[in-house]
Amino acid sequence: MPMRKSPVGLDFDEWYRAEWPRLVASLAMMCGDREQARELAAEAFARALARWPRVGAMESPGGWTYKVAVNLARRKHGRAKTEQEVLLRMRSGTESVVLPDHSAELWTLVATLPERERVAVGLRYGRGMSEPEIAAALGVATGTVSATLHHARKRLQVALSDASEEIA
Amino acid sequence: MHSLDDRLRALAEGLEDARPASTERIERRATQLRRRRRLAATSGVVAAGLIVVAGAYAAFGWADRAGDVTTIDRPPTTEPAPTTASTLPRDTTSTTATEPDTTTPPPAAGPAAAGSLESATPAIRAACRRFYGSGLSQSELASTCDQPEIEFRSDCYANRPVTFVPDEGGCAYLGGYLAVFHGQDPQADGSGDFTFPVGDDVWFIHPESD
Repeated sequence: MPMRKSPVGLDFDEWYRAEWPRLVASLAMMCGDREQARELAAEAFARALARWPRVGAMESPGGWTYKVAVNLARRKHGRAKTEQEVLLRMRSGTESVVLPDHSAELWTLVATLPERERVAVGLRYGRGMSEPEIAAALGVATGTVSATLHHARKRLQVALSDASEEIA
Repeated sequence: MHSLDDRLRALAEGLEDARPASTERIERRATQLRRRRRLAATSGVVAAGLIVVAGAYAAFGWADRAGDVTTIDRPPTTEPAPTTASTLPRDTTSTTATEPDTTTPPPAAGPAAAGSLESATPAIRAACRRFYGSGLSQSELASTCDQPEIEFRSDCYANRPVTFVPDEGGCAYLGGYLAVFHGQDPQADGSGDFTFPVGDDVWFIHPESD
């Protein structure tokens, strides 16, 4: 019988239900496709459950699961010729989510960010993690996270202003 | 007009999925993963046993046979006089003293053969560069991925150094991440689960604290 409670008493089922919505959101921001985000999340959660006594005792099981999902996505598409090709293929897939126009436009722009920035944006806004929490989850300095998010926001602001100028 | 932060939060909310995959599906997959890990661990023990047997055979059986073959293949010529032996630091045979024996590999090359720590290091560094990709500048990439202190461990969590074993797995802490390759389970108890050929695919995960 699999262990459902971690050594620190965290119940997998409760944690899973609480984490799923935001993990899918952060992965969708990262990979640009919510169906794929659901698949990645399911596999990552299964891996977490298979190792629950250990993962459940971590400081951030959600951060670990997100990282595993990101690795799965990278592995799946690692042999693609260019990141842009991957993104285009992802975007061409069926998308079950209906977003308001302004969010859909922003999602498209997020998908053009470099992977590192997409990962940070996904954790910051998708999972609502603070910069120190992201730094801990990714194993980098908090300053690196701040700089990465700063660059991402700057790129998005430039892209959004370019897009609005084109419309005007 | 909403700020960019507000818009990103709204996007994330719109992408949230209120319908988790069924716990049965997650459980089935987790069970499958556990079985694979146990199987891989068992295979690892068998492989280790075979390596020991092969190693013993190589050390004794092959050495004897090699001597036989050499005796048969070598033309029955007389050994030249060791005229230059006195110039060498060691008393070696005259053939190696006067002309290199090209049929014998240099002794130092053995440990660096394919699958060794030395051969794996460039692959880990290259994977590190791919992992960080365009998110870092060239100088940041160099300082993160080309640092000399790649630390290999016998399993992903124990604080002890490892002798890199080809095809049996290993881990390296690099750039703040744990690189896992060659069949090492990256997360759990050190038993094998996945196979990542060096130079092809390397996982980077956040190192957990033991």
